[in-house]
Amino acid sequence: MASGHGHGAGFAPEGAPIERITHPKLSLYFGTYFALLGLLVVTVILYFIDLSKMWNWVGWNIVIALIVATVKAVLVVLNFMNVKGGTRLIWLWAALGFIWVFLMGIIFLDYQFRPDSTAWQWQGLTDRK
Amino acid sequence: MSLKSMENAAVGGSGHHMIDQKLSVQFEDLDQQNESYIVGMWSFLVTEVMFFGALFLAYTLYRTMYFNTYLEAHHFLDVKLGTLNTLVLLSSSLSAALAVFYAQHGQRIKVALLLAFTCICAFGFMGIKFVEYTSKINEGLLPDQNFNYAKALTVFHEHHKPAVGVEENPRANVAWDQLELARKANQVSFVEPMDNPKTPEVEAGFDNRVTSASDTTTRVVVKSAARERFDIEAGKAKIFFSIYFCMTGLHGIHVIIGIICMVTLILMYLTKHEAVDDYMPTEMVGLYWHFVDIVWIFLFPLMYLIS
Amino acid sequence: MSTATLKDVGKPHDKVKEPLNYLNATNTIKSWLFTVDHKRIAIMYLVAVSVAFLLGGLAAGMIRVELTVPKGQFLTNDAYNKVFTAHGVIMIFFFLIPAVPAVLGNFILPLMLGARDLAFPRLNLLSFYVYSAALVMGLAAIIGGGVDTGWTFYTPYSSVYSNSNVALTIMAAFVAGFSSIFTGLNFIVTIHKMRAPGMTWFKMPLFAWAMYATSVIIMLGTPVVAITLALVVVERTLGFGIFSPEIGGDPVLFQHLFWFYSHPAVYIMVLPAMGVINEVIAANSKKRIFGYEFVAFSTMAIAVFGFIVWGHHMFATSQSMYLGLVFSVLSFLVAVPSAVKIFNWATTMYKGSVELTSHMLYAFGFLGLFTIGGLTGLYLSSLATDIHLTATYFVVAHFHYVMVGGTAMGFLAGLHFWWPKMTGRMYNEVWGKVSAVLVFLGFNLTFLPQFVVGYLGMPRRYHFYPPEFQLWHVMSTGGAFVLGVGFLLPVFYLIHSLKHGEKAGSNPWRAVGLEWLTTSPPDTHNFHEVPVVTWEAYEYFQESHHGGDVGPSRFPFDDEAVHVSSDEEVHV
Repeated sequence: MASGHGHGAGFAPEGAPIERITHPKLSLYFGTYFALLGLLVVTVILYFIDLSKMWNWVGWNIVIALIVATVKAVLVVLNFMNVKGGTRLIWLWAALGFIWVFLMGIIFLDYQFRPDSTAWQWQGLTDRK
Repeated sequence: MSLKSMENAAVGGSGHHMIDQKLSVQFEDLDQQNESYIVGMWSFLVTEVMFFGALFLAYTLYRTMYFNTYLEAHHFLDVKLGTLNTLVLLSSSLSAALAVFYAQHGQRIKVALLLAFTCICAFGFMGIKFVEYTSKINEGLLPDQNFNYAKALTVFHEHHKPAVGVEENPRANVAWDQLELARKANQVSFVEPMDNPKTPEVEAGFDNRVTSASDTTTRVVVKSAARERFDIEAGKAKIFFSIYFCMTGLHGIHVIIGIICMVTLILMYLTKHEAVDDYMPTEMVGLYWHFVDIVWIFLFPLMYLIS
Repeated sequence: MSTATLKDVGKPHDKVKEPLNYLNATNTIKSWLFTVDHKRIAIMYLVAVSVAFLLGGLAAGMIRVELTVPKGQFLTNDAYNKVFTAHGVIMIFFFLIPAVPAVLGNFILPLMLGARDLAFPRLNLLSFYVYSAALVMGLAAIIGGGVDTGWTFYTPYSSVYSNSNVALTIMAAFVAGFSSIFTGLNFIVTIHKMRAPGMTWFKMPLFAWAMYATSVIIMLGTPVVAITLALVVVERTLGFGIFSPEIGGDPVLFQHLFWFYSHPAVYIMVLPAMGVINEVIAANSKKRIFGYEFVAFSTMAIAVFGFIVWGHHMFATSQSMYLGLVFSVLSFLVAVPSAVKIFNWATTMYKGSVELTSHMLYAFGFLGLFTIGGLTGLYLSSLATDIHLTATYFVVAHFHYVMVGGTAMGFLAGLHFWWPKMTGRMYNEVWGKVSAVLVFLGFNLTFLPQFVVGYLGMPRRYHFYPPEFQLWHVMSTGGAFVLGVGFLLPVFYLIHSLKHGEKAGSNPWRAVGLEWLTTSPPDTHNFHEVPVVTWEAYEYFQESHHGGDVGPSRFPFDDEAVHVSSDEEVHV
C-alpha cells in the first residue's frame, strides 16, 4: 500500500495551491516600528485634545483612541507576528480570538436594557435594613 | 503563489540561507511541522485574548456605568510613566521580531543579544510598573481593606492645584466635590488613620453616634449627605482600582513569564542547546511577546488616557 | 523478535512472543511516567478520570443517603453543602470535561486520522500532569475542609462570606482548565494538519469532527471562566472587589462571565460523547451515518450557538428581561442541531444490520436519555416555565439526563467499543450487557422522580424537604444504588479482561475506520506506513446518490500488510 506524504499546508486536495509561510525582510520590521512610534505620539496628543469641542460628541476621544490602538495592534499582528506571510489557517486563528472576544459584549445589552439602570447600584448604607 | 516568491521563501527573502530544521517523528515534512507550531501558538494566544477580554469587558462595563468616577480616578495614573512603558514595550517588540529573524538565519549571537535587549526592556517595564505600584500603595489606593480614597484625593489636590484660567471639566471632580462639602459641613471627623481599625459597626455604617474627636479607639463618622455620596464614589473608585491592578497585574505576570521564557532561550543559545537548533521556539516566544505588547497597546489608552 | 502476523495474534501460543505494541514495548515506570505516546497518556488519563468519577460518585451516594428521609441526619447543613459542591466540582471539572477527549480522544484520534501521534506529544504529557496536579489540589481542598459554595461559586458568597476552602478549589479548577486547553490545542492542530493523505474534512470520521468542535469551544470559552474564578480568589485573598455590591459592583456580572464558559462547557461535555455515538452506531448498524454532512455541520453549529445562550441560567436574576427573551429564543434554536443529530442516528439504524452489542446498548441508552434531557431543557428555556422550575430538582434531573445519560453513557460506549483496540482483549460481553441495562434502569429510577419532585417545588441544594416528597426520593435513592452497581461492574470485568479476556484481532467489530487497521493493541508509532484513504467515512458499502448500494466498500478490511506490527524500531 502506497504511503503518501502529508504535504505543505496539511493535505491539499488535488489542484489546490500549496501554501507556505513566507518571511519578511528586515526593513519591514523597522518600518513597522517607526509607524508604531508615530501612532503612539498620536495617541498621547489625542489625550490632550478635547474632541468633544470640535465634533460635538463626548465619545469621539475614546473612539479615535481605540481606532488608533487597533491600527497599532493590526500592524503588530501582521508584521511583527508575520501573519501577513502566513497560511490561511494562521490567518483564521489569528483573527478568531479578536473577533470572538466581542461576543462577551452581549453582556452590555443586559445593563442597557434593565428597566432602571441605576437599580443595581449601591444605594448607600442608610438604606440597608 | 508565484515561483519567485516561493524562491524567496526558500532563501528567507533576503538572500541568506535559512537554518536546517529537524523533523519530528509525528510530522511528514517541515512545512507541516512549522505551520503546526504556529497554528498551535496562535490558538493559545486566542485563549489569552479571551482571558484578557473578560477583564476588558468588566472595565468597559464599569467605565460606561461610572464614567465620572473613572474620569476622576484616572488622574492618579501617571501618563508620562505609561507612555514610557509603551515606548519600552514597543521597542522590545521590535527586538523580539528581529531576534526571530536572526534565529531563522542561525545567527546565534545576534539572537542572544536581541533577546537580552528584549529582556532588559521587559525589566525596565516591570521597574516602571513597580514605581507606579508603590506610589499608588503609599497613597492608599490599593483596593483592599486599606483603601483610602479620601486621603489620596486630598494629597492629589494639594499637589495639583488647577492652573488659573484653565476650565475644569465639571464631571471630573465628583468625589472631590463631595469630600469638600463634607469637610465644610464640619460634622465629620473624617481623617481615618490606617492604624486605627474600624469596628464592625462602624465598618457597616450602622453606627451614627458622634463621640469626641479625641476618641482614639473607635473611629466614628457621622454621615452627612455629602459624605454618603463621597463614600459611594469611593466605592466606585475602588472598583476602578481593582480593575486597574488586576489588569496591569495580570499583564505584569505575563511579562514576567515572557522574561523567564526569554532568559531560558538566551541560556539555551549560549550553551548551544539542541532545542534552539531550530528557530521555532524563538518564534513561538516571539509571538507570545508580541501578544503581551498588544495587550498593553490597548490597556494604555483605556486606563491612562481617559478624557 | 518474532515476525508474527495478524493470523497468529489471537491463537494461543505457548512459546511465540507477543508482538511488540505500545503496552509491552517498554515496561519501566519511568517509560510510562515520561512517555509521549498518546496511547499511554490516554491510559493514564483513564485511571485518573476513573478515580475522579468514583470519588464524585461516592459524594453522590452520600447525597442520596441524606435525601432518603425528609430531615436527614446523616449530614449536617454545612456538610451537605460541602458534599454536593464536592460532587459537582469533581464530576464537572475532573470527569465530564476531560473524560471523553482526554481518554478516548487522546487514544483514538491520531489512529483514526492516520497519524503517528498528536501534533504535540510532550504538550499532551504536560496536559496529563497538569490535570493530575489539579485533581490533587481539588481533593486536598475537599478533604481538607471542603467548599460549600456550590460548583457555581456565586458571588458574593464565594468571594466574601464563605469560610471554606474556596480559593484552593478554584485554583484546582483553574489548573484543570489549563489541562483542558492544552488538550484542545493539540486536537485542533492535529485535525487541521495531520490527517492521512486522501482524508479530506468530509472523509473524516464524525468523532474527529466532534473533537474539533469540542476543542474550539475549549479554546474560546475556558479562559473566560479562568479569569472570572481568579477574580473571585483575588477578592477573597486581597480584598479587591469587582463583584461586590457594597461598592457598586454587580454579582450578576460574575454570573454572566461564569456562564459564558459554563454553558459552552456542557457542549464540551456532550459533543465528544455524541462523537462516540456516531462511531458506535455506524459500526453496529454496518451503515454510513445518515446525513453525514448534516451531522458534521450540526456539530459545528452547536459549538457556535452554544456561546450565545448562557443567559438562560440567569432568567431569575436581575438580568434584563429583554435580553432574557433573546436568550430564550436562542436556547430553543440551539436544540435544533442536537435534534437533527438524534434523528440522523435513528435513521442510520433503519435498514441497517443492527447488532445489540454492549456498546450499542449504551448508544441506545444515549439516544433515549439525551432526548429526554434535551426536551426537558426546553421547559427551562421557556422564560415563563423557567421561573417556576429554575433552582428546583427539575433542573437537577434535566442536567443529569444530558450529562449522565449523555456523556457518561457515551464514555462507557466508547470505552467498550474501543477496549479491544486499546488493550488487545475482549471483555465479557454478557457482563457488558448486564452493566448497560443496570445503568439504564438505575439511571431512570434515580432521575425520573426528580423531575416530579422538582416540578412539585422542591428546591435544589436543599436536604430538608416536605414529607410528601419522600416517595420520590426513596425511589431516587434506590435507583442510585442500582446505578452505582451498574457503574462499578465495568471496573471489575474490564480489569478482569486484561489478563483473562480473549485476545482481540485488529478489527473485532468489523468496523470502518483507520484505527481498525492497526493491531490491537497498536504499535507505539501506530502505523508502519501511513495509509492513503480512498474510501468515504463509514463506507460499509459504496452508496449511490440515492443511498442505494452500488458496490463493495473500498475499506481494506482484510489487508494483511497494514496489520503486521513493525518488529523493528521506527527510526527517527
